[in-house]
Amino acid sequence: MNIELREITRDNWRDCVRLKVAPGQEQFVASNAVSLAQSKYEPESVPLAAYDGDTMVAFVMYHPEDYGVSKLWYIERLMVGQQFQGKGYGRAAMEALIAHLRAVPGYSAILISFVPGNEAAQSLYAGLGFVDTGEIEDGERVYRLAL
Amino acid sequence: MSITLREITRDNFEECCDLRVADDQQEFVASNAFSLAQSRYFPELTPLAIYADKMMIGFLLYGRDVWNGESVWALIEMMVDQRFQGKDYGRAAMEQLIERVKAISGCHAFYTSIVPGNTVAEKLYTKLGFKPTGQIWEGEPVLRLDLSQV
Repeated sequence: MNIELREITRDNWRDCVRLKVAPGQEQFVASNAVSLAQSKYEPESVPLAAYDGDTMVAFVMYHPEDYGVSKLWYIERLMVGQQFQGKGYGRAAMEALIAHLRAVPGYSAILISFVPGNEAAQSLYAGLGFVDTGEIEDGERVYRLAL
Repeated sequence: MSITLREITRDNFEECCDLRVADDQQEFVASNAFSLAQSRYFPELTPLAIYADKMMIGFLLYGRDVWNGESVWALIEMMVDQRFQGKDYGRAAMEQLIERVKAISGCHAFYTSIVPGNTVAEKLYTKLGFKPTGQIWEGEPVLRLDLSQV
């Protein structure tokens, strides 16, 4: 599997909007249409599509948080299209995103959060080296990966 | 009740994404999140929120588009949230939009298209002076408003 992150443009935004999670998962993650709308009005949020070859399989969105002394990344969205789930694409997309963010100098950590009880998310992020900060933000557990 | 068209910003885009038409109308319009995403990648399209006094009650998307090879000014989407329908807000919003479009230099006609079966939209646009052109754009009959006649 060779996952590549690509920008979303005029040419692939419709594919991105068509990429949906499985029924029943909609409550856990915003639709990609909402995420792209958000990134228009909150341009610090950067949406990227994850491709396996020519096929868009997943979507991520992140933004920087600058506290003056330390600068962090916050991964605010990760979704894998329903027909592509259970194949390791979520992990592969996260690895590609972490590598992408590591390449930018000056950032000390990546934060990510998930709804308590979402064990799939917890084990995915723990497996990638994220550790529990013990903090809860907007009802979600915050995990952190030091860079 | 005063109907105004306002810009969508960081402060109201979420409210805009939450507006909904009734279930049996969903086949007629795109979701507002879809339209805002579209306008991110097609900045020649302008999204506007429709307010009744201080309450956001609807949404529209219009701008420069290319239909069947011709560059036109067109209304791409217009919706009134299900809680606020039947009060003529859509018509009031359209009248304001038409005034805006008339003020654009070089713009002499305004186009829209309707999903077949959307009789509410057809009635509204007809009342406002739109006339069928006989053309089809993306499977939808095209209507044209001659701006010199309004």
